[in-house]
Formats: sequence, structure tokens, C-alpha cells
Amino acid sequence: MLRLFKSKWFIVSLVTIVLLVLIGITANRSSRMTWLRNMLNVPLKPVQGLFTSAGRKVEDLLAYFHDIDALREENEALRAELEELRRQNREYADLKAQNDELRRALSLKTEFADYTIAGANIIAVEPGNWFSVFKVDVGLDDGIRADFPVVTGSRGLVGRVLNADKSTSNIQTIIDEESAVSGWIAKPGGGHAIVKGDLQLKEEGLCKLIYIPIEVDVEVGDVIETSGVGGIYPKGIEIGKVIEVRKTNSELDRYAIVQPTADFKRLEEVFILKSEKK
Amino acid sequence: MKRKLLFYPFFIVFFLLLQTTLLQHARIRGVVPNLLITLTIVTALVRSSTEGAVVGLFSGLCVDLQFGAAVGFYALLGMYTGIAAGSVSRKIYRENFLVVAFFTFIYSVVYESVVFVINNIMSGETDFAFAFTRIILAEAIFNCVVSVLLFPLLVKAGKWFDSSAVARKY
Repeated sequence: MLRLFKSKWFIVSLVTIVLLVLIGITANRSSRMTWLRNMLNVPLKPVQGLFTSAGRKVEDLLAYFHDIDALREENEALRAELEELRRQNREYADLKAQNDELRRALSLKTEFADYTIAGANIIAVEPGNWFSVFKVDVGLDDGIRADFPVVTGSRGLVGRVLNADKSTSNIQTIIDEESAVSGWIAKPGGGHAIVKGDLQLKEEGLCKLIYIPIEVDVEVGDVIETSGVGGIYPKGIEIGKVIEVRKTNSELDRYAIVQPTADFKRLEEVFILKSEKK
Repeated sequence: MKRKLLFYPFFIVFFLLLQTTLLQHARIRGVVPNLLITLTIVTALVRSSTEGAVVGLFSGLCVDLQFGAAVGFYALLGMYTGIAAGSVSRKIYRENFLVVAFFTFIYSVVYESVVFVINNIMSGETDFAFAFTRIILAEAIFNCVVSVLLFPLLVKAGKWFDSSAVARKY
């Protein structure tokens, strides 16, 4: 009996040591242990894709009944808004034509000229309640590497590739508490600040803007873009809009709440910007 | 043994799939139950420390392989959760779902607190009060509910395992 007890603890210590070594090896992002992950991720990929799309179908169906009343009201509001937008649109069309002409004149580079764009579908979400990481159906085989920026169809920043396996990769969103993106407050007299995920705000799909320079006057409605500092994200991707500025006792301590352009609750498809240089 | 080798891997993979896909649509106030850690705790309580540890180890490993930054972190935590939860199973009257639900709650709180502390020890994020009330406690309550559903399953599975052991003996 004593022997059995001893051997049990021997096994436990042995497993502990093996796992600690494994943690040590894999914690280094550049390690090439992807075969280990592939053993599980490759066979699970199609099943997860199927489950996720089935879940969405069910949710959509339930939402359908729930939404009818809301939709009626929304329809009224939207009709009114449409009129207003039509008017604005005419103005914008003029401005756009003007802008295009000026761009050509200056031969400005297009936004993501250094990147090729790869579409990806979300197939699974990290199981715990702490992080905001999800899995998509493209991986190393599709040329995806860690740290590639991820955007939505409307070019709002989603996050970055955390790690890539053979045919899947994990995306860390900007609302993840471990995520910090160097942002630029896009207005005259703007400045650099950090867009950080926050545990409390994550649930609502929001994030925090911290380290706002004292001289910058942040207001509700200000657009935050990536600053290009840090080397992961190219300059000028829209992160979101300021929806609230919270002032604390000291000026240094103030922060703002940012509503990301990407709607994390309704995200199904994302685009990964593949950099050819890497 | 053969029956265990069929039963546990099936449920680990099935719960992993459920957790990462369909269950995400069932968030209540942004929180989902953690099926795999509940399975680990209930297995340890109803069966034994050893079975709990093995289930914890492999379900943790699956999460690590799918999402973990470092492979081994959740596996290690899962194994120790199984051992810890199993250590009380000999001392309690385990054929009662309320006992199982109670210990599931306690161990879920301990497990998630450890996850939070380890993950935030570096970043210096100290909002433990919010994390505890809004996420850890909520998740522990959900896990409780799941444990009540898992309890009869594991009791039945236990009888199934044992019946094969008896059959072989004679």
C-alpha cells in the first residue's frame, strides 16, 4: 500500500516535471512545437467549424422571433436616417471625387499596399472566461504567421495572430486584457496613446484608451487609429471611437472608453493582412 | 479499463468541442460554465483522485494545445485540481448530488482564482474584486449546475466500469 502511494506521487512529480519543461519550451513564441498542437487542431477543425455554424443558425433563428418588434421600430428610425444619409451621400460623392483626384496627384500609396489579404472564418472560441482569443480556419499552410494584423471587412482592427498551426490559428482580439495596441488619436493636435483590453469592459466589447498625453484634449467621438509604432500593425487602421472620457483626480490618470469599429459579438469572418516581408 | 479508455476521451473531446463552439452562444452575463474543469472535479469526487487527475491532465492538455500560449499550463492545473478534489472524495458521502455540487463550487472558485492570479501576477492587474464577484463566482455557480447534470452520468459510468472489472474476475 505504501509502495502504491509512493509510486503515485512519483508519477505525479514526473508528470509535473515533464509539463513544466513543456511549458518552458513552448512559452517561447519562436519554438517550433506546432506538430504537437496539430495533432489535436487538425482533426478538430472541421468539427468545430460545423458546430460553430450550427450554433449561429440556431441563434439566428431564435433572434428572428425576438427581433420582429424591435425591427419595426428600427425600420421607422432607419427610414428617417436614410433620407439624411442620402443628402450627405451626395456631398460625400463630391468630396470623394475631389479626394481621388488629389490622391492621384500625390500618388499616395494605397492603405495596405505591402500586404496581401486572406479571409478567415471563426471556428471556435477560447473556453475560459478570462481571455478573448478565437480560432480561425487558416494557418501556416495559408502563409499565416504570428503577429499578422487582423481586420474586419470594414477595415476595423480586430487584433493580431497569436500563434499559427498547420491549418488553424489563434487570434488575440484588442479587447483581450492581455492586448495593448499603440494608438493614434486621429485629429489635429492628436497624440499617441495605448488601447488596452480590460476585464470589465470586455463583456460589452469595449476597450480602454490609456496613457493619453496631457496636452491632447480627448473628446467623445474622436477616432482612434493604429499608430504604426511597435511594428505589428501598419499605421492608419481604424481601431474605434471614443464614447466616454473618464477623468480621475490627476490629469495623468484619465482614460477613455473606446468602442471598437469591429463588433466582437457579431464577428464571423475576419481578414488577415499577410506581410510579404516576414 | 477498456471502457474507461472509451468513455473519458470521448467526453473530454465532446466537452471541448461544446465549450469552444455551441456553448459560446449561451453566455449569461458574459460568463460560460467550464465543462472540462467540472468534468474533472466531478470525476474526482465520484470516482477517485487518480481518475480525476488523469481527466484533468488530458482535458487541460487539450485546452493548451488548442488555445494555450504555453503547452502544459492548464494540464498541470487540471491534474492538481483532480488530485485535490479526489482527496476529499474518500471522506465524504459521495452518493449525494448536493455534496458534489458544493465541492464543485469550492474547487471551481479555487481553480479559477489560481488561473487569474497566475495570469495577472506579471501584468500587475489587481482588480481581483471584480474578477471574483462577476466572473469566478458566476462561473462556479454555473459549474455547480453542470455538476448536478454530470453526477448521475458519472455514477452510471462508474457502475459500467466496475461491472466489467467484476466480469473479468470470475
